[in-house]
Amino acid sequence: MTSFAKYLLTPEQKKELVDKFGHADKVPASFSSELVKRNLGELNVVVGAVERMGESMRLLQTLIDFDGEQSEIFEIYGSGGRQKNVSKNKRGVSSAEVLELLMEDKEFWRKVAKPYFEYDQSISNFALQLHFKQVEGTY
Amino acid sequence: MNSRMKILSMLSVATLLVLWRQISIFFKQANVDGAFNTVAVTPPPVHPASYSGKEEGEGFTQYIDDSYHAAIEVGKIPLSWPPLPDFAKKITNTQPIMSCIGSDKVLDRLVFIHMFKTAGSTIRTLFREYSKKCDRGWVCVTDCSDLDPSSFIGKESIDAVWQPREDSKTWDNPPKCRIKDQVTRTDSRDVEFERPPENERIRNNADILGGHLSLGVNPWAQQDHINVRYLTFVRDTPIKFVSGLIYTTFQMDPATTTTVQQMSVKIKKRILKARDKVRENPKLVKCESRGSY
Repeated sequence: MTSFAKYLLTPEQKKELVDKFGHADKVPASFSSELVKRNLGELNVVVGAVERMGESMRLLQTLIDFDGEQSEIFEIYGSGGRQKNVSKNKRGVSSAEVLELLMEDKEFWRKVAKPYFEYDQSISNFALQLHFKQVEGTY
Repeated sequence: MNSRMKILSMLSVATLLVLWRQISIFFKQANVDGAFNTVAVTPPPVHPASYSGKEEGEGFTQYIDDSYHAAIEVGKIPLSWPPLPDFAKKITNTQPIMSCIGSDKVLDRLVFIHMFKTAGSTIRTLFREYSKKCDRGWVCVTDCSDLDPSSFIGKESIDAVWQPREDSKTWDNPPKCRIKDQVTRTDSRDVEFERPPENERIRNNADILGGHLSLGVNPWAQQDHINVRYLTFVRDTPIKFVSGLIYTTFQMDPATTTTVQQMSVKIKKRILKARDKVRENPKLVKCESRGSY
């Protein structure tokens, strides 16, 4: 199953898939990824993007603060670019640095890593498309 | 008079030549940027390591990189991506569902699906702060992504305690689905932390519910007049994957002195191992969902 399945399939769907394929690990990623995309669209999921916190915060504000009374909170967390860093990354190992190092081995990246990420990437791309459309819809 | 005419015609020719050159440059640029919906005024930045775009030497330039990363940088969805299917075309979910202050201003409930390594701490803190200022109920749960459907289906589920799916108990001490945080409305009571969530308590105490849970989780399912709206955050796959493994490594051994190089080797090994597994059995998954990731 794709890694998104854990969060973006419903409890009923997961149960059905496990019943059908015998174990969660045996569900083909191609199958579960299409189901995840369908859920995102049909269940009208609002999608934010970590890389677009400003737009995501504006989207969220239209949902839960339509009078605009608490604009400051949404600005702090993204809209105004003064993103408040609440994560506790004191590990000294940056994800970007590790990723950059992995990508330096171009052969590995093209032939092994990219195919490995294929289905998850297709879901991320699909969700990002929804995000763009939803942000457009709020203006 | 004649010399003035000559100068004027020379100037006109020069102006035309300059204009022609500008037009040629514009169309050349438009052709390169044509991979995106509209012509970008300035070309997108070139990524140091081509990310998942086409590489130079394959007959393409990085300007037509159509990766997630490039879409973020350019602010547009590449034309090469398949269009959204009909089931995803209707935008009905950006309608407001609540506002700050005034109980009559809560129309629906919000359920935040926190996927691992996708801005969860930021969003949880925001909901906490918003709820305190606006007198809204916020309930945060954790380890609730694998629940039994009976927790929400059927009339008996109205006061059900959330139950894990039986086959999800794949290891000795699976993490228990529990309540982790709450902001109480003035008219509601405290829920008990570290206890399994119950539909009735969630309904009575939450306007916003969030945490590591899945789509379909809906304590209001048996109340016809209340709808839930789901919210989630997405992040580019490779960086999410790497971030998740770094997090897990340091969670399991906080004293570890793993370096960037060691982490890169570890991740490479993990991906190769998964690739070999898929080769042995092509029906198996890619990018498997075991562990926290």
